[in-house]
Formats: sequence, C-alpha cells, structure tokens
Amino acid sequence: MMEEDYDVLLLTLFEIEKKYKKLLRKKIPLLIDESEKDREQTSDIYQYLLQNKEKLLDAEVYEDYILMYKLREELNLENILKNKSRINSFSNFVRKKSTPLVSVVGKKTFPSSLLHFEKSEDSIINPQINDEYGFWDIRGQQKLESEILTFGDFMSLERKLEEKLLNKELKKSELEKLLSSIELEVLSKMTSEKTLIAVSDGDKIRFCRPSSEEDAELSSSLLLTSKKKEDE
Amino acid sequence: MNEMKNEITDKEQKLSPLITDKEKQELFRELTTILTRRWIKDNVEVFGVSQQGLLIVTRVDIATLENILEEYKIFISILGLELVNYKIVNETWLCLKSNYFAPPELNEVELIVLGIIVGLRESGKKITTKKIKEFLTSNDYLKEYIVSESIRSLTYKGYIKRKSNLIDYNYRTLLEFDEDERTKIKEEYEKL
Repeated sequence: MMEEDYDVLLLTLFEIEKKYKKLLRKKIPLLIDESEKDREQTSDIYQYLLQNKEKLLDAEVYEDYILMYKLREELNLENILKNKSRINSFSNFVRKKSTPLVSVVGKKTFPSSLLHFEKSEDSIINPQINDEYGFWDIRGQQKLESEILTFGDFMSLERKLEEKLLNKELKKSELEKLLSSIELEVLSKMTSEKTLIAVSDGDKIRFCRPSSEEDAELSSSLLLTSKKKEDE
Repeated sequence: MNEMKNEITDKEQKLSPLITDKEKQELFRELTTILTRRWIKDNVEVFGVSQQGLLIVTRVDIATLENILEEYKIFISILGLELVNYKIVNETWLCLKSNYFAPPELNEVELIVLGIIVGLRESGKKITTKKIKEFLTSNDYLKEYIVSESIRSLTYKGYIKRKSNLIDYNYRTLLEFDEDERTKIKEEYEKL
C-alpha cells in the first residue's frame, strides 16, 4: 500500500468522524442508506492502521455509528407514540417536579374560622355537697388552681417533709391535718421512690429512712385527703 | 428603624435560657402539629397557621417568635422539611414543605391541566378556561368535562385562582414548583 493511499484513508476516517459528531450534537438523524455507505467505506480500514491514535479514531467512528442508530430509533419512536402516552409522560414529568406541602394525612377538615385561639385556664373545681338541700352547692365551690412546680420547689418540699415526718409516729387523721394536698403528692412520690419509708404500726404510721428498714416490703396503700386549712 | 433591625439580628439565635429543653420539646411538638394542619378558607384549602394565630397561641412577642422559628427551622431541616410562608389576602401564613421532590396529591388529569397552565403562564400568555380546553380537546388528549372538573378541583386545592375569566397561579403552585421547575415544565409543554 502506497503512502498516499494511507493518507487518503486517514482523511476519510477523520472526515466521517467529524460529520457524525456534528450531526449527533444537533440531533439530526442521517438516512440509513448514507450511513451504510459510510460503514462500507470504513469497514476494512482497521487492517491498515498502524498507530494507536489512529486505531482510537477508528473506534470512535464506530461508536458514532451506534449513537446515530440510537438517535434514529428514538426519533422514530417519538413520532409513532400516540397522543395519549405523550400527555401521560407530560403528567409524569410535572409530578416529578413538585416539592409538596406537608400535612397530616386525613380527609377534609373544618373551616379556619372555627379556630378559637383562647387562653384556657387549668382549674379543678372541688364540689361540696350541700347536706341541707342535697345537691351540689355552687356557692361553696373552691377553685383549685394548678401550680407549676420547678425542680427547686420539689427539693425544698422534700426537705420540709423530711423535717416534719422523719422518725415520727402519726395517726392518719393527724397526717391529713398536717399536710396540704401538694405535700401529700410529694410524699406519695417519695414513698414510691423509697427515699422515705412509711411503716404502718397499729393505727399509727411511722416514717423512717430506707437504710434502717431495708427488708421492708410494700404491703398496702393508704388513701389520704388533705384537710389542712388554708390559713394554717 | 435600621438600628432596631440590627438589634434584632444581633440577638443570639438561640432561645433565651428561660425556656428549658423540656419546654422547647413541647413547643416544637405543638408547632409541628399546628403547621401540618389543613383548613378551608373562602372555599380554598390552606395549610398551617396564620402568623397572627401563632402569636396568639404561643403568647410571645414577635422577636421571640422569630427566634423560636429560626431554631425550629434547623430542627426540621434534619427531617428534610422546610418552613415556608405565603400570603392570602394580606395575611401571612406559615406551613411546612418537603425539601425534596415528591409526588403531589394531584391525579393524572389535574397534573396535565396544571402543567399546561404553567406552560402557558411562563410563556407570558393570558390563560382562559377556553384556551386550555381548546388545547386539550383539539389534540384529542382529554374530554372537555374532565378539564372543567380538574380546573375546579385545582382552584379548590389552592393551585390556581380565577380573576375575572383569567386564570392565575395561587400560592400553592408557587410554593410547590419553584422557578427552575416551572421553566422546565414550560420547555416540556412546548414539545407537546
């Protein structure tokens, strides 16, 4: 093979590569006949190629043939596709582009005008039965405001209770008179956590430290209602 | 005014130490609950809570509320959510939005109609019901009554609103499809 022929071969290969790259970039399909002609032209070139660089160029031309084939198929398919499937794929496209608002799952709710932003007061009403009339006497109702206790309040309440009760024997009625309802709540918490132990001794209750009565087991519970008067 | 603004921005982003961790947990729980609620206002669905309502509920001043919301934003960003606000008749509402792409609650036909409205609106055209119907029925895509039904449902769900025969975006389209996505939808619409 002459040197000139070899140059011509390389030139055709190079030009075909350039042509296909340009068409693929612009997404213009080439007719099958023309594509086949190009392929025939380049089919045997690989046998004469010497350098690696030239072999790579040959490979690239073949890749372009494949890409051109794909492009042609895709465009044909697009034309064949029915209206229905095209509009469906459009709806899927829109669906994929959304970042939706978040709401708790559930069917329609009530109008926003029904929203009432009002301060609610936590209060417990302590009803007293009027013996004379035999019904709930509203006049005597005592409002129990709920109190918010901080951790510090708890600590001081616990300390006060220990001072009051430790190593003392008290009757149930005495205990009810001595302690307020909040103090009783704290006492209940302390006994359940075993920071203070209550031992029933006949009709009296004795309070002691847990270390001295380690084996003591919880045997029964006692219901206490505060009867402490407010001014005391 | 500027000085005041600076003061607010200079303030620590964190909540004041008066609010304990436990209280903060409680507050965030309540915020999540109220921000994911859905109401009906003037026959249109709205999400979340109005800023005024939030102020009344939490009983704090605006500066503190802003601080709380700033911290809440960081908290929900871990879950892939975002706090957004929108306006309905001069009233600012707050709600939560997904930070990532996820399917909306619309059905297929509603998505098509919304996509076409977005396509037309982004090309700067005026949109009328007639135009949408013409486009969809002439190409044999959909039946006319389905299109009218979808337009009604989109209006109710807060995606579009009607202003004297013309159709425009409502708050939800603007929130759920940001500008880039709307441009992409327009490009896809032009291919149809």
